[in-house]
Amino acid sequence: MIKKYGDIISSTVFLVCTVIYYSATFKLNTENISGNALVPRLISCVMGICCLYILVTSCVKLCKEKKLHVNTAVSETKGSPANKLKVILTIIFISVYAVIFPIFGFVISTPIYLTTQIYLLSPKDKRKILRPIILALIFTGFIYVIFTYVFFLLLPTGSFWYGRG
Amino acid sequence: MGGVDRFMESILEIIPGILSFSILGWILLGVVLGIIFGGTPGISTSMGIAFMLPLTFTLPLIPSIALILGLYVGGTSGGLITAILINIPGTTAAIATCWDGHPMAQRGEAGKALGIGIFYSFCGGIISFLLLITLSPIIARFALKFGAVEYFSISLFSLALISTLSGKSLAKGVAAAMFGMAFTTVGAAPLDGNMRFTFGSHALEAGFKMLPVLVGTYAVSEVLKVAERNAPLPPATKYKMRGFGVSMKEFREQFINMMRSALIGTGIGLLPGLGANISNILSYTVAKQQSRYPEKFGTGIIDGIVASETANNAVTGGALIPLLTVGIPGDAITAMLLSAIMVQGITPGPLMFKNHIDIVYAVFIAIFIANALMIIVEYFGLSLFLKILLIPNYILLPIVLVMCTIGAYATNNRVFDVWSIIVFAIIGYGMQKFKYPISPFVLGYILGNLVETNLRRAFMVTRGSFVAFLERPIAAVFFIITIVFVGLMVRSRGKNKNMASED
Repeated sequence: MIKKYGDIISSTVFLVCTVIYYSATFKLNTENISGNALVPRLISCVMGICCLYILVTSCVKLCKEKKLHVNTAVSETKGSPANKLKVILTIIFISVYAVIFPIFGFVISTPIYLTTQIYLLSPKDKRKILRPIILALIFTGFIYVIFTYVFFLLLPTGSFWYGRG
Repeated sequence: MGGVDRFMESILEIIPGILSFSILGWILLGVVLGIIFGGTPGISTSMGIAFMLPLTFTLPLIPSIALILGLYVGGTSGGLITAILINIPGTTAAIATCWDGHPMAQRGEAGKALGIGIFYSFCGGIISFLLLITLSPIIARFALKFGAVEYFSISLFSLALISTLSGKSLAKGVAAAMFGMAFTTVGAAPLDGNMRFTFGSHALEAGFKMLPVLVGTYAVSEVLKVAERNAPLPPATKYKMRGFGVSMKEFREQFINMMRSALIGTGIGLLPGLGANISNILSYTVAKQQSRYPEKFGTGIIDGIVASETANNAVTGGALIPLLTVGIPGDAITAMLLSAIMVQGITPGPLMFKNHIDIVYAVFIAIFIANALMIIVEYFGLSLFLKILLIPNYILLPIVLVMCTIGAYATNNRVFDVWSIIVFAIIGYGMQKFKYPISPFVLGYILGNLVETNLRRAFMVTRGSFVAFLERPIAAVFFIITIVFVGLMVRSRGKNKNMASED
């Protein structure tokens, strides 16, 4: 799918972004050439030309391949669905971590995140729940000490605990 | 002579400050972490520096420079360990090291291959260091004449170079660079300070900070890639070290190869966007072409390791030259060094040679010490490093993610920066999936502000006339080089395409 239609999909997405970006420049200072709309407009023009070029050449290439009945999808090495799921879950885990750590603080949220993430990435034959928990606790303690006592950075203690006592 | 005397006097004045135990400690920590990051397959040196960058913001300037340069030198050399012992380069800088290093290891000469790799990494680093201290003051003196028009032309040249040379498609490279530049236009505009593209969000008014962009695109997107193709590492070949494994005869025989590779490495480092990943392969190819026995390359001869390892470490000195003299980073790592320096309120460029010469000398001394520590630490700590490098990625990567997330948050106490990391990680991962090169995107982001400020300032000076740009000789030369270079690249890509379609 990505190998066959990747360029068409990506250039279309970029093209849509470029049009939105260019439209937003009408709200900027366009009175003189050195106004603050100059560079955004230059960027949109160059990006638009490049995206159009990629789109047109990939469409032409696809048409040619269809005429010659060349199936590029055959040679495509498909990534395992389990690994793709790992990528999506990793993004979800980081996002959840970004949401919970300012609320529950570093000390609570980090071991939870590390345990789930290590468990997720571990190969199936090495998936034992105790190992990620122990590793998560050790590394949370280590990172806490490094940040607090070596780099003197304040780690979030969590807004949830304030006003509860 | 006067200039040299003044240089030596200044260096001697600053040495006691740099050679304090704490600074040496930061360089040592950088080298050790660099070897670990550079040596671990799946974790790049850029990822390691992105991971440490938030922490350097809490340090004074010189220790933060010392730490990053240690990471840079250690990381560039560290890739050779797994390249030789398990035939998987720790970083792309050591790809060509595999080609002769691993066959030597399989023949029972792993210790000799490792010793040669470490020794010539040091030689490459030192030769490029000598070129750095010789060329930088000359280029900086010349760069003092630069105005807005010249800076714009050089930035444009850098962008053109990186867009056309990274990746297989020229259009994708240029689109990636423009996409990166577009992110710099969010927030307050340079010169007039008016808000742009904030869509009513207060968080966007400050724009996207450099740290989340670099950490997201380089570190977190790499983690996503590893999550997708997580494969266990093969066992390492056994080795026994006895010295560096280079006899005087071999050193004499390899001298020209070493010097040529060091010059290639430094030259590649000088050019924006190209780095150790290109230099090691290019140098290996040239060494093979120039050799009296090219058929032996790839069978396990020391010439291949000498070429690859000298060239990749020579990039370190070369990449620092444009950063220090004109304030334009040569690669991702120097971009992060630029970020670490700028966060302390100092802008690298020719004026730094006038107003903050102590910082310039600190960089010189730190890179020299980093090279010296690298050879010692890598040689004596090899067995320990090998144990750490074989720690599975599924344990190391989540820790890297936590450090990046917390580091980005702790720097400004903004949850927005954490969300930015996730957004840029998805952008970086998506771009790589759709075969858009990442380097132009990042350099576009880094140079965006410089390009815009200088273009608008130049238009103010010339009252909107672009023809006046060409009346400035330095700028005109850079414009012509840019046009010729892009033209040549378009032509050569067109030729390659035609040849491919004929086949």
